[in-house]
Amino acid sequence: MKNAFLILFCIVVSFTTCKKDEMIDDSPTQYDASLVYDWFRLECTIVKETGGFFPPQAARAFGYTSIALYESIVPGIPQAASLAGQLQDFNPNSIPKIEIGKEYHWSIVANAALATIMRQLFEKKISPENLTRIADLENKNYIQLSTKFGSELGFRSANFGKSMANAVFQFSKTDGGHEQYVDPFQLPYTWPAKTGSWIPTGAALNPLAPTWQNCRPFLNSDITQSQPLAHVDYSIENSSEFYKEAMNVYNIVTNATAEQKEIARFWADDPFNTCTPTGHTFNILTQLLEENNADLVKAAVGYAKLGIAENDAFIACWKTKYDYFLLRPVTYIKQNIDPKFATIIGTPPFPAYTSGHATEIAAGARIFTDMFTDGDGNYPFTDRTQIQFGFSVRNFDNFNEMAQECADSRLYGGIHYNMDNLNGLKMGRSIGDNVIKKINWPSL
Amino acid sequence: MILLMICVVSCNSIDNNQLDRDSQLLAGLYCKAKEIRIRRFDLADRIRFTEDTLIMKEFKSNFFYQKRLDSLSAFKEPLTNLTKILSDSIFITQKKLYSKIYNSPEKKNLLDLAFKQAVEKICPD
Repeated sequence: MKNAFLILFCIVVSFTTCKKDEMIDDSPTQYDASLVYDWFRLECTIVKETGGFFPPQAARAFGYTSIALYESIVPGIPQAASLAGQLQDFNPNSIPKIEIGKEYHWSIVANAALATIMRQLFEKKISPENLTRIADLENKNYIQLSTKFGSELGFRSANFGKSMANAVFQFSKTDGGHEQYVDPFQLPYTWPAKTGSWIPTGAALNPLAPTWQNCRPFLNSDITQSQPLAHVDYSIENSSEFYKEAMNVYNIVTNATAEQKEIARFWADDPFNTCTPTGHTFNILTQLLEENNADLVKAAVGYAKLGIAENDAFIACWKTKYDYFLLRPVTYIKQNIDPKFATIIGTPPFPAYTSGHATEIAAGARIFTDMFTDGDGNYPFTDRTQIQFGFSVRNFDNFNEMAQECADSRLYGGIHYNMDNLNGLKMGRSIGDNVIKKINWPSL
Repeated sequence: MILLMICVVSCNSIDNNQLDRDSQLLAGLYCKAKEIRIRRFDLADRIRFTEDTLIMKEFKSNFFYQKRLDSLSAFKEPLTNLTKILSDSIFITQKKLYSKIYNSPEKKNLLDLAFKQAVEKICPD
């Protein structure tokens, strides 16, 4: 009887303690993804606490981190294609290869790749505290994962992850955005001279990242296919379409409901207190992956799709912003409608047309729709990611509804014309769809 | 078998006391974060409105507004630090609750509902 109880106890213990990611398996589909979530949450913290990471720079960091993760485990995914050869200038000969016939622990590989790329992407300004956080997380995961399988497998796996991260970092160095967080305003900059041009709206006397549009996108077609039509002609005539756009902002802001003000602040994702719009969208993806018990492959594919789309969304949007260099609503309204006008949230220091928030969230919504729905975007979910910043939960039934609310939040806040949002959403949807279609992704 | 049954039952239901405790813990933290968030946005507004005034005013009155801007800016760092401490603490609490107890969409929804009710009591809008 005593022996029988002991055997039963052992069975229960082995069922409750032995997770799949602790077994060596050929495919990363057998691995748990929770380790990866911790890394992206840490990246959110680092973006928030490292100077110079405004929305475009943050999107780029999340982009390359996601690619390093995906590339590090792709050799273990049956029939999956590397992004090298598919992304612009990412040469297949530049990436390391696994040793044929040797075993790899894909969680250890991913762990090493993520730690290495994060150290590199923030290298010039990262705080000692965050470097320690990276080392602690890397070591904790490594010890937890490697002790059961001996040092040889652990070393081999970690070395492969590090080599892959190094290759991805080398690739990142040639895109034009390398270390731009050191000088995010890219001075000196010669302003275009035209009527209706952007002028400073606050303390920053120069526009942010004016040459970001020259950064190399992951997919060139993300930029060329997504550019919107020109905005309505600038005019100060009160019968003009432009005046109506500005008047619409004025009316919405001056009559804003408490709910609209809350929405404006919820989605504001201001730098240095949050991890920017891209970080928010990454946090939503993490929540969705967790809710769906995603394995390591699904998580890596999800982050890579989103990372590519977000990086390219900001390049595309910045191209539009600096091609048109349009003044913000607050400037126009103060000059032509009401000199005492005040927006609900602060106006960021760059031109209006099109909205970065609208562009990035629409790209994200397309990726989420592809990953978690049958294509209709219907997915009841609760955004709990902003509780940490003092915002309550928000509920959505559809990813497009979420994207629309995020875009509208910029109008409620008084910092964007509605045309900035409508065309930003269109750009983002086009980029999201392009990332899904143009890249040969593993079937999940 | 009995052990297994006990486990299945205990794994699938959440005791009301536990739900109350957890929702109040999360709501308490959230309410502190909300208070800090309101202060943060209020400070940001005061800074930008002072900056606006500074841009428009005559040079002779700049000194006064510059002093005001400096004194307002001094509050930025402490508020950012408080935001960070609370954000970390809330994140850790959420992670613990969602991974160990509220580990299904249904259970998370239960917690959301109880959380909203607790917030209404502690820091209503």
